[in-house]
Amino acid sequence: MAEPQSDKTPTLSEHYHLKEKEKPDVGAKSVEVKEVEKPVNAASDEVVSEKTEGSPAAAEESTEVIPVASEESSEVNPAVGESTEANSAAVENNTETAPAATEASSENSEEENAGEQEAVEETPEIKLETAPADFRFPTTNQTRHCFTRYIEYHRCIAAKGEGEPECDKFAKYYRALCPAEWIDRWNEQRENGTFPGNLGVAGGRGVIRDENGDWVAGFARKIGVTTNFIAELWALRDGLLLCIDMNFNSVEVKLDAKAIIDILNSPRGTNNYLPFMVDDCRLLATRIP
Amino acid sequence: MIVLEWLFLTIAPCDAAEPWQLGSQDAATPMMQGITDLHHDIFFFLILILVFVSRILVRALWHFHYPKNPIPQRIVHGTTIEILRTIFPSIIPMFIAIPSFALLYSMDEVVVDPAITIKAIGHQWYRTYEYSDYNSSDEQSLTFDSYTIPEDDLEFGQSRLLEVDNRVVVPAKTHLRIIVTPADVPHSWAVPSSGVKCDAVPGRLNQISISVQREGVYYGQCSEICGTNHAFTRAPGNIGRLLSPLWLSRTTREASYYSERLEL
Repeated sequence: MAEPQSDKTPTLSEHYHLKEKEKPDVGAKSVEVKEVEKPVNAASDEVVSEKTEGSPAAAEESTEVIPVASEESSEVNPAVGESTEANSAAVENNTETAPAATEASSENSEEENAGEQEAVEETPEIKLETAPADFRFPTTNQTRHCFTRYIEYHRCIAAKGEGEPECDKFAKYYRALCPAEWIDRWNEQRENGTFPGNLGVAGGRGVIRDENGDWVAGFARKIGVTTNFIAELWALRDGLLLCIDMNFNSVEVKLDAKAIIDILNSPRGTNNYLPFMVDDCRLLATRIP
Repeated sequence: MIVLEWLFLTIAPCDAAEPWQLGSQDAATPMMQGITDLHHDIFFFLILILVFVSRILVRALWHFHYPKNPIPQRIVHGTTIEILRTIFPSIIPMFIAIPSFALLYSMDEVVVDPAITIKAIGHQWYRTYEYSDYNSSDEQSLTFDSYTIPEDDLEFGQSRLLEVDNRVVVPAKTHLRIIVTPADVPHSWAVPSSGVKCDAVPGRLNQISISVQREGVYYGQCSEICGTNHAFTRAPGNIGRLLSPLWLSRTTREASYYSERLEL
């Protein structure tokens, strides 16, 4: 137990020195900082530190060495196979010591052993990653960001099916951004069908009946992923168009969305988000005598 | 021994307010450095104006004292001095405004993708922190509450109304996104040495990005009147001990282990 610790602590401090030296090099291309800062693993850093220690020459040499090291790490990262190879090569010492520790049969050593094995296996997985900065939401207020990511995930699930690996990144994003309390609330609302957002593919349909209630015409349209409000507007628009085409003189529209009726009846009530659809519907309504 | 020394030195509470402190705390982020620099910039002009105005004032009082000079000089109009005293005061605010706006917008700007998201959720009167970058389901999360240690339970060396039971641990030299929101009333998340103060408004997520440049323990308090315990028991303890990125690989691997331990 003592050995690995004593091995680790200097690497920590080495790590810092390395980072400080790396910074100015990387500073120019700040986007790549994340890439480089990924804790590739202790092993590769050890290699680096050994190199720097091994070359106790002038400062010029060390500065030469460091960019090479960073290149190495960046090269190693994408190539998973290579990285695992490098890891196994670099960690050899540790993995050798670890079994010895397990023979001594202590829980910690087992954990460590498992941890190291995981480290060898998982290194491509553990990287500093979270929801990226989204340029739809450049402000301090990130409420919409979280909400949008949540909706995006559920739309993705709706479109591609549960457990689709493509959707995982959205799940990761919204979990990173939204407080757990909100997610719980939204999940509950989704189960109850009271979720305020729209999570799936929408369609609109309607029928036209005569005064006796007999069927005259019907229409349906697949709208795609929208909000329910726009879906209703689309359906209204389709119905009105059909009525105009068929030259009906008096039309009574029955809608099941009060919000639409409100917005059409209100004097200046164009919602900021959907003026075109509302205007369209109003115009069509005026064309029916 | 090196380890002990290293730990001891970094944990020394050097980033809290001192008694009778006049200036700001030592900067830990580029943001705070910018704020401190702006403060000094503005103070240059401030002192310049102060000296100039008090000189005029004192001189006027001295020279136009009534026994000494009962009939003051009767200047009604002077074009040159009028132009000068109009132009100069309008140039000075410009010298203040340019660095000020530059700092303001650079603080708002999120240039780099953050590496870690931490959610600081304010409650009456404690904070909940969530690390959920590595959650694999909605239920599982690394979450813990951070309470101020009451005065009676303080140990020797701990700061009164600043120390908390669970500190936030974040890596240094990493771009962090901190999402601030409350669960009840408005709070505010502030760490003076990071130059960060972000209001927590119910139903809204506010984001701040910081990149802490050195390791240490950073203290902060709630900056929004949020109830009876705001001033006394409530030091919301957004206290970060900032470690190397190595910490993260450990946390991600043992996230469940730590969350179990923290949810005692």
